[in-house]
Amino acid sequence: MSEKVYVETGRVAYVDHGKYADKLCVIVNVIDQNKALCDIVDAYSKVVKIVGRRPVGFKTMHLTKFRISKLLHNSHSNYTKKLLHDGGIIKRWMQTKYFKSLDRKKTRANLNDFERFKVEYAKKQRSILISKKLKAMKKA
Amino acid sequence: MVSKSKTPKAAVAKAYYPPAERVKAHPKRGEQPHIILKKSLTPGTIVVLLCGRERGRRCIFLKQLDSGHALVCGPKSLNRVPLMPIYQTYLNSTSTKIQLNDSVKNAIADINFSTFKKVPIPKDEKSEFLSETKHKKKRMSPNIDADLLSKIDEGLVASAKSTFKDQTESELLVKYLKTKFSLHGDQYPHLLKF
Repeated sequence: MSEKVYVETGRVAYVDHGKYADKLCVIVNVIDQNKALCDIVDAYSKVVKIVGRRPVGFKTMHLTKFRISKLLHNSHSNYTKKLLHDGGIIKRWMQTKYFKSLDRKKTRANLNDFERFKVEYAKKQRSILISKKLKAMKKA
Repeated sequence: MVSKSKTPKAAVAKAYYPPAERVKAHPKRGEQPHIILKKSLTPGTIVVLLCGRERGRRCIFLKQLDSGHALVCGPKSLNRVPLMPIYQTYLNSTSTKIQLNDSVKNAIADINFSTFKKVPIPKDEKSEFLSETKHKKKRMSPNIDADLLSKIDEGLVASAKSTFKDQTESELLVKYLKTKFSLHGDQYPHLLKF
């Protein structure tokens, strides 16, 4: 496991369920034990868009390794937007393993019946190739 | 003189009181309402059979018959699903569609529900161990030339192969029609997208 990640101003977190499901948020200030005031980011738009500033519960957040260290508590949303853009954080987020596994789950959930069959077939072909190679290796 | 107070007329019971709402007449036997197909069922849609002998098989929806049934075919050479009528509730339509050849469309145009007759299952198909008296099952079989049936079959296979420009995709589509639909442990049908 990598370094410990803390709740602090500027920490970027992924919200996985609730009102802001499937969105990134930037912690601006901590309200109490259960929630933090966050700027909610629309991660899929071309230009960084901040949807709003809202309380988000810690239970719905998953902290990422990204942190905007320049952000001060209760600074304006426009400043968060600027810092996100400057740090290229959304691009970097989209290259992480976490994001890729979330993306993979989404595409798998939206597969067509024919597409699902293609995945099954590909998996079968792969296991056939592996077993062939394994047999050859065992013989040698 | 005692003033005659106006006595109200005694309410006369009517012979007929019309109902508050007009009752709609039942459709007559001959004029059954036309059965509306699901929106997803268009000619050429690949469909999963949910019931019957061939349950789980993926086959091609051809058209709606006059009786409201859906006409469906394997094709038989891929699937062993013959040209048969099924009611649409026993079909699960997928979003994959095939463009039917003109030859197939022409061949199907004349087929109605009346071309299907209940025919006893031929002896060769039954096992030697089954006694005849116990298994007198009958199957719906189309009253059509074997030539025409094979033509429809070939036409369907050709349409399936020409759906995608990419040859590997078309080959996969043919394999897809051959394979039965099945659910794995972590697949929930209400969450699957067809």
